[in-house]
Amino acid sequence: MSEIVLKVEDLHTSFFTRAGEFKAVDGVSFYVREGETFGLVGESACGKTVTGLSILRLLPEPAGKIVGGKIILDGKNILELSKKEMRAYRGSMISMILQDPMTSLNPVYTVGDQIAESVRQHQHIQDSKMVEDQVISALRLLRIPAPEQRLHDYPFQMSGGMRQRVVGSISMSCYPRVLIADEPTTALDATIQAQYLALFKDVQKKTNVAIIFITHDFGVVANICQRVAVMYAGKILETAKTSTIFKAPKHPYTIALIHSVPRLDRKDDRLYSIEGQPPSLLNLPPGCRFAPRCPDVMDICREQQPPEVEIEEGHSVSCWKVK
Amino acid sequence: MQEKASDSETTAKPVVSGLSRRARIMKRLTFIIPVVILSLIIFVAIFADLAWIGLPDVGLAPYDPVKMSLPDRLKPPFWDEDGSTAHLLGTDKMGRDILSRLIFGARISLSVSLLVILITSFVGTVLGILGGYLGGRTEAFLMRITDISLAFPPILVAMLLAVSMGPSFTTVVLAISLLGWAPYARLIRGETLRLREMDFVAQARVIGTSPFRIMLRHIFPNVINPLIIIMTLQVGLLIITEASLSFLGVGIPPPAPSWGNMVNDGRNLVDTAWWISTFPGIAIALVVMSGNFFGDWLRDKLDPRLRQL
Amino acid sequence: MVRFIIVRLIQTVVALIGIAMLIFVLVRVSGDPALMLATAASTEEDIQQIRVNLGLDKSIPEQFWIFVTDVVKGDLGKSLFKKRPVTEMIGTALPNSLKLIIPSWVLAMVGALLLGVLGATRRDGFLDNGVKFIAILGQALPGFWVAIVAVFIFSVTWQILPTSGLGGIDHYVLPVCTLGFFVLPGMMRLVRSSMLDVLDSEYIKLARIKGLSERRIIWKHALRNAVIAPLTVAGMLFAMLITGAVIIETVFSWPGIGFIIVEGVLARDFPLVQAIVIMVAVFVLGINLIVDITYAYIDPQIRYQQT
Repeated sequence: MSEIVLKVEDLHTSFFTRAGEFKAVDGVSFYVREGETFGLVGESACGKTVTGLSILRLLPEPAGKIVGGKIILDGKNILELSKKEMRAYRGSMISMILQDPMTSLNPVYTVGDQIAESVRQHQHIQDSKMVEDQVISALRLLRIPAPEQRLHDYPFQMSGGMRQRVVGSISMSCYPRVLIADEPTTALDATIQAQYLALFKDVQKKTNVAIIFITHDFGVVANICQRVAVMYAGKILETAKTSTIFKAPKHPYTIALIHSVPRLDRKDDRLYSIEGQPPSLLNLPPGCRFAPRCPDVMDICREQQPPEVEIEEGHSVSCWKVK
Repeated sequence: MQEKASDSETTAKPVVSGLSRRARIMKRLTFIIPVVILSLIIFVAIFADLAWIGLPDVGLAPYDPVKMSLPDRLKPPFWDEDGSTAHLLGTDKMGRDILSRLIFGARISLSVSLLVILITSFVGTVLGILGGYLGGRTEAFLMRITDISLAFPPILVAMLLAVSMGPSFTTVVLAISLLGWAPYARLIRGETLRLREMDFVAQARVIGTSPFRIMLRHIFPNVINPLIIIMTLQVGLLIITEASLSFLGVGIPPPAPSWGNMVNDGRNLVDTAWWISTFPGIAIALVVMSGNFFGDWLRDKLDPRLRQL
Repeated sequence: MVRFIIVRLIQTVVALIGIAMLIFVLVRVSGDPALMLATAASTEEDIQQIRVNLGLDKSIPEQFWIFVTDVVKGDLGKSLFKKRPVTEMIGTALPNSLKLIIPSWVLAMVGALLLGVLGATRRDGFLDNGVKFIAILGQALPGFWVAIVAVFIFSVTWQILPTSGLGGIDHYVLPVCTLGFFVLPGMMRLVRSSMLDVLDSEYIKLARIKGLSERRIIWKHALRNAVIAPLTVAGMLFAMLITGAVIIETVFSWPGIGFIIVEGVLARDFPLVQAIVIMVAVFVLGINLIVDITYAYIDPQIRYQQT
């Protein structure tokens, strides 16, 4: 098995506002290997995007702060880096793709310019021909046709799918160790989505980058992720191989989520949905976060938070019912 | 004041208003104070005297604003040792009571503004809707004229008219109106463009409604909101424009107590009789600020998209 | 880009001719300048004589043609008041106005840019509140009043600056600053709000992800996008600057174009006023052309769509 590239240990990230402390990420741990795609799934506002931003240390200041834990990249705890050192890591060792391709690119600069900026910044190449070559190869990596012409184009001259590839090129231009993809396919339509996911796999094969794929769409997870963590209200409830999550989920929440994905091969009378709402991150219940909505809730669930238990190799769950 | 979080996930969090009590009170005040001031000014302008119902000597103003009284000239405000309560804000170099002139000045400022707003909003809206809806050459042409009108200093038009017609109330209204329709046209055209693409317009077209009827019954009612907002925000601008023109001598001619004239009267006496220029200046600033705050409040309530205004 | 410039240039020239015609008509149709010049003792014949002298007896299109041909020859008519050729008067006054307008504009724009960006990047901080305060005051206080108050404080009370007229640097300080005040607050407010919008956008987030320094992000990425909106208003702002110039020149007795046009109006000197207004129209349209071109240069979408 390939080595572990990124290890997140007991990460705590909170937002401090006038109304109080929002515990957006409350003790999250996972790891990702080289060449592996790790999925981070959950409902909106469960903390998955904040986790991604925390890894990049790009939380909105002054409200957002990482208050505990470690993030270890290739053996180094990046939370201990200075701001300047972290900036050097950003874009070169760790990179991110955002959700909306229509607005991710700066409208007043050419595509080539925007990729080149990354290259110049991190690889310290000054020779413009070398930079241009790097830009073209970044465009090629994402399979953008006719890259030599494309680099002179402006974003508004490209379609959404093409723009998303350009964003990918920017992110991959310095061959990072970890790529965080924050719902990159949500804004694309279904036919392009499949192409794009195939592209991800292709890029990963060529560069061996570790991908953290943040999404709420289980269909995408099934397509591209080898391992998955299910998040809820700032905590990871279950982590396992993708096949396990689908075939034998253990946490009641995971089970409910899998059930709520409509299936074409089964005749469902009604769409299954989970009752209730996620808890307010200001006033968290003392016990398990999911207790108020859990169909299998027991008394202890309401009082104490369940510890994370590895029930078999590579499969951990945080649930009192599962022991 | 909400904490700014640029991450979409965090803004979807539970809605707890981050406003402290103090901030909320301040916010209320920025609405209440302007409204009070504006209402006061309108009230004062209307009841300066009751000449409009035939009682010229009855009213809020203690004196006739143009009546000279040389023995009373250059008296300071009542809190000064040389002042008296007979002339609360003092007198100018012709012995005219400042307070009365200020009150009648309100009438002048508001009537000019009102008239200009009526004319320019009408013309501007019509042109804006026509241009926005009809498109093509008409729109391009109208837009060029609008842009040029916006870029042309109204003061020069006023000068032009003043040199041939002589300065007067009519000259001022005409001069400002000739260019003043442009901001309306620009905004309303933008709104029309947006509305034109909407389904209810397409619907109307499908059933064969004439373009004129569409513009009247579908587009126009939907631009009333932005229209009112511009009108409110224009008041301050118009008051300053009229005052500036009068100050230079090409606006409302003296002895009419336009606030601009009053500032001009006291221009060379700033060191000895500061009150002549100061009070009208404060009056202008207060009214304009109130108008702007009120306009901002209205805009936030009705149509926050227009924040660029 | 070149095509864009040429199209705009032609439009400008056409507009100019249209405006000149309009100005011409306005002066003659809205009143009879001859009557304005007549005294109480003038007879009908005297008035008619005035008309002939001024060429007002001819038809308006004829007058316009004469005017145009004169302008081409470089003759803008004679001032009725000062009895000197208008071109000469403008020639002396224009440099003075420029000495005032150009520094004010530059100062105001640079100031607005800096303050607007600083206010936006240190949002709700001390500086930002200062910026917001200036914006509110700037829009509410009439420029002429501010000028007078400034004279009162600096010239009369503290006596550190002169009250009027041309002269050395100290004569420039008050006029330039008070003139700048006409346009700085408005522009600053726009830059600030535009900047705030841009800083919130996705591509700025991406720039941060790329690991660029905050400085680079603000001054290279954000600013270029943020100036697009204020630029569209630059033309309007220039109109305010001209208005302000007229007022400031009057307050400070600064012998520029503004000063002589006000004198001209008060003296009913319509050839002078007419000529100056047309000249300013040329100026205004020229500036707007430059602004349009700059705008197209900065925003590639405008450039590409203007084919």
